[in-house]
Amino acid sequence: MLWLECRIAASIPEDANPEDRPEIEHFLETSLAAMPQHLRLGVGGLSVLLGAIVRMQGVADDPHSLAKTVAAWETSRIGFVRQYARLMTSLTLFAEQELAAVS
Amino acid sequence: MSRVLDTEILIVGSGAGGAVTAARLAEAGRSVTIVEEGPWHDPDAVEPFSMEEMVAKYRHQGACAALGSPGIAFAEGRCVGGSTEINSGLYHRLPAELATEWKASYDIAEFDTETLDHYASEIETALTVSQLPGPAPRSSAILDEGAQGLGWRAVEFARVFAYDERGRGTKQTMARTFIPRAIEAGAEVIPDCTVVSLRRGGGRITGVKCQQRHPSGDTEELMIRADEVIVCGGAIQTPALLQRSGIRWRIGNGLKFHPTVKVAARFPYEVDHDDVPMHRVTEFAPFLTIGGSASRRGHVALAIADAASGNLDEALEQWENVVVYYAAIRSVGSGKVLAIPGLRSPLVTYHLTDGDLSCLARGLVHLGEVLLAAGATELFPSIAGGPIARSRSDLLSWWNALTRSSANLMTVHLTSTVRMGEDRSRTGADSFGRVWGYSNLRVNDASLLPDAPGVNPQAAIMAIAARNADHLLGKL
Repeated sequence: MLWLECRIAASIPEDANPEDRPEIEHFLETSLAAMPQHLRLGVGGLSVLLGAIVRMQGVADDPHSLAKTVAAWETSRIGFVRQYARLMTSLTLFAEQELAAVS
Repeated sequence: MSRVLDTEILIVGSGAGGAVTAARLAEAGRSVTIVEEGPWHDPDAVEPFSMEEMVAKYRHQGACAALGSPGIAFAEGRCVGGSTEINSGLYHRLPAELATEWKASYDIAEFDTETLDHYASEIETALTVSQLPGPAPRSSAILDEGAQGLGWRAVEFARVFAYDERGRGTKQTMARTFIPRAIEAGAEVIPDCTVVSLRRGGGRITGVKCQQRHPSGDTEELMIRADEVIVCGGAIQTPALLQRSGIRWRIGNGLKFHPTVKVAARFPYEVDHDDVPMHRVTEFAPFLTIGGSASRRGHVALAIADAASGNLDEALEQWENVVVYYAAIRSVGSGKVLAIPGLRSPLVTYHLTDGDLSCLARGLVHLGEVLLAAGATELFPSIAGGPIARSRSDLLSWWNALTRSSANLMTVHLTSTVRMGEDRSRTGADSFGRVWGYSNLRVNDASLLPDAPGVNPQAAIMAIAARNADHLLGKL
């Protein structure tokens, strides 16, 4: 996973059980790796671009700030940004809730 | 140096089309080999619709989408049994009026309701297609009650389930039914085997180049020579394979599916989540169908998240009271499947028309009306930013809220990328699935359907596959 993807996997959902976090990260990692190559390329490009932006904004190291930033992207006027945020939050949220259901 | 295998009939793919074809040909005494890209899993190894199932049985772990405005997520099975291993098991014969329309529009020979019903009847016996032996679960009855309250039609759909004496159902997937039948009749199944391309020469397929993955992790090159090659990889993988092999005439165009929008509905009581609701509101069918989705905790969270991203924790309290429902349309728009050199997966695009979007908004509102009539207290549409509805007047806001940028759409029923018929200007294969220009190459899966049928297509796929297999047997 790329830097921003790792940060997102470690931060979203914010209130995930810490014991479930490694499995959430693993699910996100394997899901991204399993994507069609052209989609993975697009997601990777956005991870680099948006990663640079959050570094400049200085929100990357604070999980709460990063979560708020990603939530704001979900209603961005730029379609690719919106879809990126929905993809990331969907994968991490699904994993977190399924793991919570098991435990 | 590739290992070489010889067989009489090679079937690529083991889903609804491939498994039925294989069983029929093998039971007629033919030498059949089935190659399946995915692994062979025990059907009971993972829970239906769980995260483990997505990892084990879904292509791309379920993370795939048709590009367009909006992008539309879709899912395909990738395991022995194909998408029959991951679907809800709903079964609906091809509506007679559609068969008549397709026959006329695409000049499909011997495509009448009587013939299709004959094959459908055989399939239904084999798969023990039936309704529930007892009352429907609450999550399903909700649709019936809501429709009744509005004076709309709703029916309990039959499913490919077998029930024991205690009423417990087991989905009769291809891995439980037609694949074992094919093996019993002598067919060989090679799982974990990707078909790279078809070799062509003299208007025939002379060999099929494969890569087989062994449990050790090693990959082996395989060349399979067959008298007949039948591609049954589904509406995305079949055209992609043909295109990769240089076969492009009317291949991959005209992708159809049922764009689907969802609503998570909260009720003032706990609702079951173990099964997919089997009732459907058919008042507006086949152009619009309302039904229920998988509603495990993860699905509920995803369905709520679009409308309640700001207060998700609060919305997820008492998630046991929430069930996910959908409205699916027959779309006027269409898409394309395009194999790109160097990439393993094809590019998939879909153009949703303004009319389609309007139909989806109408479907969303009708779905909301049904759920409120059934007693729902809170509705979360799959629209980014909501709005959440608690009364019929709130539903009016959904008309304008569902836009290309806000809609979160998905689909599972993919069809029509190698259409069948005698009109060569509009079809990729003849009336029985033989690909134009190749004497021993056939397609026998969802790709052949000229349009999305407005209902779960697996019944139509299996009936047409059985019909085409019999036609091939008559030619051998």
